[in-house]
Amino acid sequence: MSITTLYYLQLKKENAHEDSIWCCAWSRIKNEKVKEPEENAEPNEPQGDETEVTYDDYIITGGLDDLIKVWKLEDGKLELKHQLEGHSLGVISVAVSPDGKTLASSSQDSSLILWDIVNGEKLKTLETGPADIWTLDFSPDGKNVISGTNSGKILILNIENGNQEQVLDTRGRFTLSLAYSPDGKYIASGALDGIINIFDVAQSKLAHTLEGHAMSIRSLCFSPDSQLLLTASDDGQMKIYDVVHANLAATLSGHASWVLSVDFSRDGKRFVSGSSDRTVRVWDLETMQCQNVFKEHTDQVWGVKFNADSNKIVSVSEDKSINIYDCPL
Amino acid sequence: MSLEIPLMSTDEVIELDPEQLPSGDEVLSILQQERPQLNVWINVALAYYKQKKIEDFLKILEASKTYGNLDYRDYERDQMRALDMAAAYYVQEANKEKSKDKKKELFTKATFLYTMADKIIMYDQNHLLGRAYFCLLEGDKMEQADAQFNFVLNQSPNNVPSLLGKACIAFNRKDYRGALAFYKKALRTNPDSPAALRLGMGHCFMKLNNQEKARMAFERALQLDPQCVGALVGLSILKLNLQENESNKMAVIMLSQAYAIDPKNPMVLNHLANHFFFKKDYGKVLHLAMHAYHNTENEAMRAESCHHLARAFHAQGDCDQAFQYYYQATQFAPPNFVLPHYGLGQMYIYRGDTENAAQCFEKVLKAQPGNYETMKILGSLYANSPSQSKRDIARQHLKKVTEQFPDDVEAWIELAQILEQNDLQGSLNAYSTAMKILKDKVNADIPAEILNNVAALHYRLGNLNEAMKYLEEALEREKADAKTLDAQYYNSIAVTTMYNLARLNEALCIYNKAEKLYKDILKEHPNYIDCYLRLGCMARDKGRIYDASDWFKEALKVNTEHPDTWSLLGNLHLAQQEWGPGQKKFERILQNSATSTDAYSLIALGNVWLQTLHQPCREKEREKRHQERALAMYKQVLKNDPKNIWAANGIGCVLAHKGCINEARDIFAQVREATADFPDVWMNIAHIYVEQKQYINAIQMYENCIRKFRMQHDEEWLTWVARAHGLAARPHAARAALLRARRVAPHDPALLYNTALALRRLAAHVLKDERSELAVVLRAVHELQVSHRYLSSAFLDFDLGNTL
Repeated sequence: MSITTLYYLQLKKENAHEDSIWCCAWSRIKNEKVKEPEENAEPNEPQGDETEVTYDDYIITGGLDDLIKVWKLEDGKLELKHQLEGHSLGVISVAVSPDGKTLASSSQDSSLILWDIVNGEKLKTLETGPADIWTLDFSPDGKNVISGTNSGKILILNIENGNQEQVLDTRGRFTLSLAYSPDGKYIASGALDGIINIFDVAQSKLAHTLEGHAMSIRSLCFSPDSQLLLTASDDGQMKIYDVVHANLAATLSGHASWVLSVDFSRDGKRFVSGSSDRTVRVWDLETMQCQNVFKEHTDQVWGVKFNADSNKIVSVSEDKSINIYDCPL
Repeated sequence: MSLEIPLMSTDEVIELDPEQLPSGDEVLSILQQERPQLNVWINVALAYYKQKKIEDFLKILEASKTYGNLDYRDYERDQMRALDMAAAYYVQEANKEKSKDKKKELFTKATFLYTMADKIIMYDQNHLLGRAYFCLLEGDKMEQADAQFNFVLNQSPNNVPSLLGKACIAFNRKDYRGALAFYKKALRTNPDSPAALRLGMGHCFMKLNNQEKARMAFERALQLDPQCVGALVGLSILKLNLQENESNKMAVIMLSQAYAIDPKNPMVLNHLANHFFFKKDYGKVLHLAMHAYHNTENEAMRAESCHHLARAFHAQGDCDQAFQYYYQATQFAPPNFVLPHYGLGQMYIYRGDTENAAQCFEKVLKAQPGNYETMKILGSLYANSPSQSKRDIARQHLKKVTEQFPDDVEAWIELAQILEQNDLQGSLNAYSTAMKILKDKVNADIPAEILNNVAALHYRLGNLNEAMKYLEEALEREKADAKTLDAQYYNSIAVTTMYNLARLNEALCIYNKAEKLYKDILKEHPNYIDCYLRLGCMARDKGRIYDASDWFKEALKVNTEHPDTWSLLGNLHLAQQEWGPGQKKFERILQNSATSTDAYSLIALGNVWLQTLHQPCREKEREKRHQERALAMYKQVLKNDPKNIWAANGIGCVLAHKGCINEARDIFAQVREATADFPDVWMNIAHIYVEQKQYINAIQMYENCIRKFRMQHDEEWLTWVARAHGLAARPHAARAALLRARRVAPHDPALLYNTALALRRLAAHVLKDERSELAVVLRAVHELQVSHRYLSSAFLDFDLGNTL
């Protein structure tokens, strides 16, 4: 990655919600269309049933105003597609299925709802029992949604039938963050007291417990190859662990306050972090150096996410705005 | 013309050649034998006087009193002459005499003779003139002399001696124009006046700053009397004032001439001493100045001589002797001769007595306002003064110096240093100027110390990247200087720079680098206690309480009594709500006699007592006791430091607890006025607003504070905002604030409970409102259900004490 990479704020949507925005996600939906034969085409040319492939990029945001908004990103503009109502007490987390079509969302009233991103319809509300659920993630096969809970348990829910397929118990405190590894082998969770647990999903047992942080882990994510786990903590630092051996690979400091959200780029070369210090930082994995600092928000940044092409980042903030940054490869 | 002594028996006379007088005794015996008239005696005596045979002159005059024939008309006049002549002689001698005692003796003799004469013919003109001059020379009888001159001038308006006397008096009264007028009148009356008259005029012209006329007067005096030392000195000073090589040489030649004529003239000696000082011939300076000193009683002259002596010793590095002579010079010096004070000030600085030194330089500056060197020195002296007003003076002086001499690097640096205390940007600008001068004009490397200070200023101003640049440059410079210059010194300041670099990395949130730097320093300097403390603080801020505690304990191994270490340990306990152990740490600091009034510890203890008041307590007595204890702590701090805002804030809190809301409000307002950087007081003011039911003000205050101090993720503060919203009948806003807090701390049972209550209130509000839309009502009902769930779980594990 060259250091001359030009980072800039491509788009800023102010007052995207009526109040603080707490979570965000990208969705890319693949469209396959049979190409219309061209009108003036030479008759001799083969009229194949070629399919034209296009992608629709959506950004989903949710926040304190109980709304989830589905925005379509087209020609450098954000267009509000759907406004999803049904949550209450603030939307905590949104997660998109691998095919980009299904959205799972959670709110402080402990409801977990599945939505169809394209038409904005509510698919179903999942029962989560007496536990207070928190952040969500999809399994890489798109069949399950997982959620952390106040009691430290991790719920694995089947999105087809809504059943709780499995419960992993960290035996720890409130699970504030969690992530499913892209290879489907691991689930990592971060707790209020800074403890990180990595579960082996197939054996449904705890693989590692990491005690590198002593303050709340509000976000964590796997690298695309599932080899690394990136953790973000209230101590202002991020750590990178080698998942298999649970070795600490790096400690990254630079944020002046809590790190609220982290995300790896799909190409695995970079990662992004958002913090209470109002900044968004982009880091280079190879050098472990911060490459750019965006100071575009006026309040804490609750969510950051890379897009599918690894060349754009979205960030959402307490300041009610959505920012999209260009991060050329 | 020959002198004739008539013989008693015959009509013959004995003739005496005034040029070849026989021995005094011989003539005396003739006189005694022949008993001529008194006037003959006087004439003979005068002849001897003119031949400078003073002894014979005196003897003959003395004998004339007894043996002189008075049997003729107007013999009284000759009696007067004899008495006045002798008196005048004594006065003249007294004037030359250096020893005070002998001088007094001579004056007494003269007084006696004049008094005798008074009894014969009081208003004889010559007698009056003699007396007047006597009065003048005695020094303190100017008025009397003036009266007598006036008396004479009334009788004969053109009496030259009186005019000269009047001129002298006018000169001494600093009426130089008047003096000049008298001299001119005398000159018109008697164009053949002696050189002294021209000399006097020369001095008047000098004082009137008419150098050209002064020069002419001195030259004329010298023409009239080539031996006129005063004129030589006057001319040489005029030449010296030209400050040219050629004229300086001429001046020295003239002074040497004057010295040849009168080797005891202190003025000449002093000027020569001055000359040799600049020739760096200190031996001669000492010799001449010492000589001058012993040849005058005049204090101003002595001051000058002492000053020359002191300078010579000073230049040779003999500070003790120099100090003594400077000191003596200041004792003799007239108020406008301030140079010795300057020298003495330098000696005081050398002795480390800045107090006295400053006084000396103040005197110099008073006489020479705006003097550059003096302002610079005073600025430098006051820069480190504990008194703010003195430091302000220093700043003003240094500012003026840099305005007058914009290329004075030293002054810029001094100014920068003093501005560091209260004007960071100003200080930085001063340093920048100094660095620019060093780079562009002096072509010198910028010293590491300056680089370090500039970095520190940038750091304090928040320009962290600039600070980094300068620190790295400083470190490089130190490494280079350690190799070529003083290794020990530069290595030692390099450690400080490293430490600063570590602090800077901390500020940039590059904690791993900071940690490495601290640990590197500790490897080389295991006693650098601040490094342990910073490592501890970093661990603490990352929530690693035990690591923090370990680092602090390492610091204790270096110094068991360091109050900062104990404070940090105490705070660690307090943050864990371990009041007892925390309290003990602070008490330990106060038990140490060196830190028995440590304000931080006292306030911490006050805060511990204050904290107990926040817990609900059913014992009124106990509560009162704790209030008093907290108050006592804060009061003690205020006694030592009446401006301590933390103690004041604490007192405000106790007052609020006692229900004295207005008093508490006033205190908080004052603290808030003193500083805007103390979040607690913003919060306290907001709390007071709540108490006074000014909810809108309270909410504004809370929200401003949260925004300013970036405490958006502080659940406690958010809860307060919610409470104010609730009290202000804004259930929606209360709900939002609590949900925000819940987003941050979903585990907090108190928050859960408060949220449940807020939701119930909101639901009640919505359901009561008949205009509510269905969706709103449905949501309110849903949230009411959630609140029920919250409450049932809250009741399970929560003590209801800590709620809204």
